[in-house]
Amino acid sequence: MHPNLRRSWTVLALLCIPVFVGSLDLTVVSAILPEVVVSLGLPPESRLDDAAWMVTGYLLAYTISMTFTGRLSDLLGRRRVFVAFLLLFMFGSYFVAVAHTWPAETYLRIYREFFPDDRPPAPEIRTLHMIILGRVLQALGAGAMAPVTMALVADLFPKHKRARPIGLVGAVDTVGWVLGHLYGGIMVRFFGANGAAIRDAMARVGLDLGVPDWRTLFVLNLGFGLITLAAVFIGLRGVPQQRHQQRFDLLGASLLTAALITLTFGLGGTPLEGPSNAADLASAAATSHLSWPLLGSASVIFLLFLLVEGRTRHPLTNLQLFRQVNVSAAAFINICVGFSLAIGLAALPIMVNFRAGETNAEVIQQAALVAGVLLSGLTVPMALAAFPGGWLTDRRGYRLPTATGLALSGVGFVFCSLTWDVDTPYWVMGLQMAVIGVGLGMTIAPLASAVINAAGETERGSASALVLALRLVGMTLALSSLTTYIISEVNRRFANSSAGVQDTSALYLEKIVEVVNEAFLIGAAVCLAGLLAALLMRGGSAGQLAQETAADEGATPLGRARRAAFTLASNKS
Amino acid sequence: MKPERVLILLIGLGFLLTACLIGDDDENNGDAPPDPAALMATAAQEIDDTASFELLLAIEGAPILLDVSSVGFEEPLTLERAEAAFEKPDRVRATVRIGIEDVVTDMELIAIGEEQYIRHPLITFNRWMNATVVQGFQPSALVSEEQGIAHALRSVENVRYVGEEDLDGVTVHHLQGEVDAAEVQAVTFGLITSTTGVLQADVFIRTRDGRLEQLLLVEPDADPASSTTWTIGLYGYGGDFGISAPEVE
Repeated sequence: MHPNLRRSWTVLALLCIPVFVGSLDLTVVSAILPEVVVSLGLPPESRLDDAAWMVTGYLLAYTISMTFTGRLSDLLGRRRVFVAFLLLFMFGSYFVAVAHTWPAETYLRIYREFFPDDRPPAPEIRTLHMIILGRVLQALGAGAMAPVTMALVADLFPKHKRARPIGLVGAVDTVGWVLGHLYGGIMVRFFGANGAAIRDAMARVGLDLGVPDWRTLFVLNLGFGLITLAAVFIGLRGVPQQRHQQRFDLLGASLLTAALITLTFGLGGTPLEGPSNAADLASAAATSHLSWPLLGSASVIFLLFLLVEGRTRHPLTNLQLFRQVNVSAAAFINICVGFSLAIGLAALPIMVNFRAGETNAEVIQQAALVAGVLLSGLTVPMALAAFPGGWLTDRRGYRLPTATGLALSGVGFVFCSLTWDVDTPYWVMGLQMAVIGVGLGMTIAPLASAVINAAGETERGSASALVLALRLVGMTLALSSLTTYIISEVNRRFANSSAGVQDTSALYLEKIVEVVNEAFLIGAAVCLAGLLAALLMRGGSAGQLAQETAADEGATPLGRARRAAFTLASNKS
Repeated sequence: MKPERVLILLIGLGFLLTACLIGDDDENNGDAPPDPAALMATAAQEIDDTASFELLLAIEGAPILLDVSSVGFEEPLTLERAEAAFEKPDRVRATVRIGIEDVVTDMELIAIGEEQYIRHPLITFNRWMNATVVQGFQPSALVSEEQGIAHALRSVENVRYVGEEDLDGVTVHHLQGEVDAAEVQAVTFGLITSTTGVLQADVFIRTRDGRLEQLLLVEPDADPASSTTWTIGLYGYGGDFGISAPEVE
């Protein structure tokens, strides 16, 4: 391996640590949420609305952060943005851990100052609001990690060598949020079983820290943050920091943020978990609905954003990029991939919970475990398939891995739709989920490479962000709309055919299977749409890109200077 | 000026303004302390004059038990907190935080005259049901001349002025005194266990408008560590809460 290339891989490996930590926190809360609800003294019925914003708020802020931090790193330099947003992530983690102390107190004081005549929110609600605020701060920091790292791939690797490192970043990002749930669950159980022993051990070395609980996870983030900071400093030592003298498109960033926030509220937030019994389902159907005025507002704001981007000299997202077929196809497919992924995430827990039948806590916990394992069957293969996806892109270009992956996922969805029934063995369901996961994972590297390779040197960050943000937007759209669709359809069909039926649970399950199978067909259709778009993609193999790179570097003085500077810096360090 | 700079300037000014507002206490440094009796009288009169208010009732210490066996739920319930809106002459709508074994949960309660209605996912399967949760409680008692909140304030004896304090961001006059347990029955929705004896009362009255902000009652107990503390907060004077009887299924 060329020494520069070896060093680039080392830098990338170090920077994958913050990507992993940031995405880990995306899902860690869903595992610890019951613990949080109990420890705050929140009534369980609050869990599905207020507390869900601990997850939704993070996802929303994570997506928003992605949209502008990539561009920010183009303008200010990757290291600066990395460090600043990593510190923000650490501060957010600290804020969550101490939310019940000075943040909740400050919140109360500010509330009373502005609304002196109103009854202030109850103490546990104040703490919950501050936890949500802390989660938003965390996510704003964490959201920068993946796009800036992807942009660094473009800085460090020549075009024809990017597919595999991009696949690695995509895989690490996916592995993070796959493992987050597991990590949170294991740690909370560990603290529950060994909390007192840990406290005593700490006391013996003079540290009076109290019994560790879910808050400790966020304190641990500070330690991870410090390790990550060290990784960033070591990794980026000697890497030339490009700073481009262009203006940051504040108006564009604000409009895009407003559009995303309005969209999320319009969709009613991201559902936290599937309903587990008929009463839950009926209650969810009564409360979950799409807000069409908000969705309309989101569309108008997004159109305004496009208008502004078209006229701004240095836009947040260069719309000219979409004139290239590879970019517009990759953008569309990325939304399809996010949408398809979310179909599994939305449909599976509802199905598993209802099959469990009983509504006592033990059965529900067992069902949650089964759903978690089956979801891992979808997401772990997805992360792993990012590597062969990158390898195949190097060999055969963007089209083959993308089309193959989407075809595989589409076939998986069709199989699910045809075979899932009230008594389908879980291993069969898991296997089919794995097929879908492998298919979706294969598209990660070619899609990201297609967009990043098309971007100019001054817009790699924003291009990387576009890749990741579009997938998350697809996921958000699907999670909310599909859950609403499944819940309302099941209730409608149940109401139409329940007259005179004795065993209503069996009828509910039958209707759920019916609607979930339809959702899988939607998944197959979305994959087919993506597949058709993938057929439009051209080029992208290492050979083709090497020729382009040679032509670029030979042709521009900047290209020659950059390579020389990097070689010099690498030799020095 | 560039739009970004204008925005940054505006945000900065916003923060500055917030900081100034937070730090702007209504202080009367150097003046003689106000007359506690007059403060109490004004606060009581404000309650008499208002048509509605919000009330927060929080309990710490020995558990207060509620009985909902009239709707077929036999498990013992403990009252932890109630957030209520009151409208004259006799309407209350409250969210009551209750404990069932180790689980806390919220129950909705509407009381109009002598009628009480409750709704809860587990106890009434989310339907409104007619049930007497608090025996003998009538909303009108909260403002009655003989036993209401204003009456409780007027009944506080040996009042002394502690000083001007900051209570969660609100500047208040802190007064301390004693009140007979019999005089605060209505204030605690009739749930206070002491019917005789004297309670320590801490009264917090807003300097801004002379209205009662919080009344803290400490029930006497042989063991001071286990004595029950009642916190009664009053907010939203004159608010429109639109309390009406629910449709009972």
